[in-house]
Amino acid sequence: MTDETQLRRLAHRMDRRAWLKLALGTGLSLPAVAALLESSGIAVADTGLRIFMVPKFTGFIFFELARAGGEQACKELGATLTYVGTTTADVEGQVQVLQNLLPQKPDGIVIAALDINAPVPALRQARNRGAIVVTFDSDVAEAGRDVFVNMAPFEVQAKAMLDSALANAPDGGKAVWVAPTPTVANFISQKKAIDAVIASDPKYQSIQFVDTLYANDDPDKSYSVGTSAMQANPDLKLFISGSGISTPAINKAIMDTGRQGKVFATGFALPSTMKTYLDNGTCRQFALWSPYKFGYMATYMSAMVKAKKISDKPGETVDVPTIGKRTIEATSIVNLNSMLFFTKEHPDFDNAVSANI
Amino acid sequence: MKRMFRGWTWEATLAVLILLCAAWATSLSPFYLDPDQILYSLQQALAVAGLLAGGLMMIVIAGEIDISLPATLAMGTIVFARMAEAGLPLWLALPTVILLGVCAGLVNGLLVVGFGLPSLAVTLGTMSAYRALALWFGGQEGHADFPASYIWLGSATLFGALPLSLLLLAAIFALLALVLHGTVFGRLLYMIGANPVAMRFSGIRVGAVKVAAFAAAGGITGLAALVYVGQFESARADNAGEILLFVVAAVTLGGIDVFGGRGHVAGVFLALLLLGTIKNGMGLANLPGPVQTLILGALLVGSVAIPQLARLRLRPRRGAANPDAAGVPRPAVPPHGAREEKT
Repeated sequence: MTDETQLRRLAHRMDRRAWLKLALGTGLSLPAVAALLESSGIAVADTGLRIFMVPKFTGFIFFELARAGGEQACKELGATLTYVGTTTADVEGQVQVLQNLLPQKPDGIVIAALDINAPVPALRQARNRGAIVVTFDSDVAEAGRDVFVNMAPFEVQAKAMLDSALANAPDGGKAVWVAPTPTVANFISQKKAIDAVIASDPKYQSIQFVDTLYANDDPDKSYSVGTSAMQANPDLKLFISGSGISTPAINKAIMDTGRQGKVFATGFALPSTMKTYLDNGTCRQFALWSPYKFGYMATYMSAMVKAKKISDKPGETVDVPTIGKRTIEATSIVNLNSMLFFTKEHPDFDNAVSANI
Repeated sequence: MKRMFRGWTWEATLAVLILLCAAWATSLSPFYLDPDQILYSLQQALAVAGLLAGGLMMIVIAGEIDISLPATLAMGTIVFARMAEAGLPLWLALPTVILLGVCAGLVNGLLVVGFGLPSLAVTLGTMSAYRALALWFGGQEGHADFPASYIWLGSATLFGALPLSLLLLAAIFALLALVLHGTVFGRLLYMIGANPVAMRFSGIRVGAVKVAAFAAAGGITGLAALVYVGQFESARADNAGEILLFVVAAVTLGGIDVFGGRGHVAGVFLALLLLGTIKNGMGLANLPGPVQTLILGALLVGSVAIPQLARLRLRPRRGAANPDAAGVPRPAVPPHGAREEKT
């Protein structure tokens, strides 16, 4: 299936939602809305396995694409996907969503958790009632899930960031690593992996890290940290960050201080936040994983484990269509391992260059 | 007698709405009509938010607002987590957290009363401050290691189905009804909310009563923190970040006048049940998140606007009109002119 059809379907769904809002706005009563929903097929599920996808919050392109991936997986497996979530990152709301799934006896729950602990009591109950719980994007404590689909091993993440760095500055140079705080585990592991990859692969040895800066996942902080780093190191070539908030903010700092082409900020970022900088050449390439495949794989795992077609035991190898063979690791973690690269010609999720590293 | 009858009308409206919504939920989802399901869902939706609504109700009746309660709750859960990690028993932790809540409320109340500041601005500020304290004390990561004693209140059920935390909610509301409708303090709250200037001229210590309302709400929030910890087995500084809409909606939908001075405890309790039923129904029907938020928001606006509109329409026939026709709770003390004079 092409990415274009995915997007068209997405747009179609948005339309339906807009209609709903319109209907509510013009004063349709609740039962009428309910009838509308029922007739549009959102509220009723019928045959086969019933999988529920719970995003961190709805209306965000990343999770809408994950949903499209999940729907594709369900279509191929003869299952139905119901996508439910809150409009904001609301931990208690997400738990209530899960609690409302319990009486519906779901076969599978695919969730990007907002909290590592809070959803666990509800998920435990769902599992006791036979649901296969697969977490993706962000995990819960092990008692709450069967499988965690991780975006990529840290080594792959590191290579994706370093490849992007070289795409910006082919000769490498002095680089600064930007993390939120010194304590966030994800970023510590990313930096360690980057150091290891540079040490072992000559391809990347032109990149020399001179400093690590902390920007607290905050755009303003990232902007000022970036600006002062450029003043302090006149020969600085690269900012590399795994924070989707810091990367665009530092690009803005580069643009505002007229250092385009001299300094580059890359790493991970959401394409929607980077379009300006790709367009005007401030940034030449950055990376992220594919949310579509993310949703596809997590949903696939949930349905297939429930159908007992695959096992979720560590050591098992699973052949995921369009993604490839993946081995389930200790504590039932499996890697999606599919990175996307964004450039001026390929600035969006639907046309980014995908690569298995 | 007349007042009781007037109050009854709005509550009856709510009760009818609850039944209608339950019927609607039944028609929408085959999973709704199951006592276990209903009780569990109400617990999830109301146990924590309901306690906060109970506290907020007192403050709103006195003509003020406190939007820092969710932040106080987060602070409480973090303190529970830290005390659990330190191996301290619950009988020590619970009074500590309730006291902390009372202190948080006292700070709010004293700032509002002492400096004559608008409570919305004050509690907007303290909301950030309490969140910051929670963050400082708890860090950014979540806490999950709670001993069984800490979790009991928020998760235990009686006879295998009746959640203890719902019983607690009912008990607190019974107590609140007793205090607000049966004591001098309660009557003072209503009268201060309706006309603080007149109360001050009558020699009533308006400030002290208001501060007491803030402190009591804080204390109830401390208790809610224990329920939260039991329900979610989790404590994080950004807990309950989105709960305020639901809490305020319950208070206004319950017939508490946003300008203070009127409304009944029973109304808020019924409004909680109504909102819980609506949430349950929408959830079981897997309505998309935006639709759910939209409905909740519309209910909030409606619950504030409808009584106001009804009042405007009734005004020309004031005295002769029967306000019950509109199902609007009338004031314990006529607020005529009170709002304009309020400082």
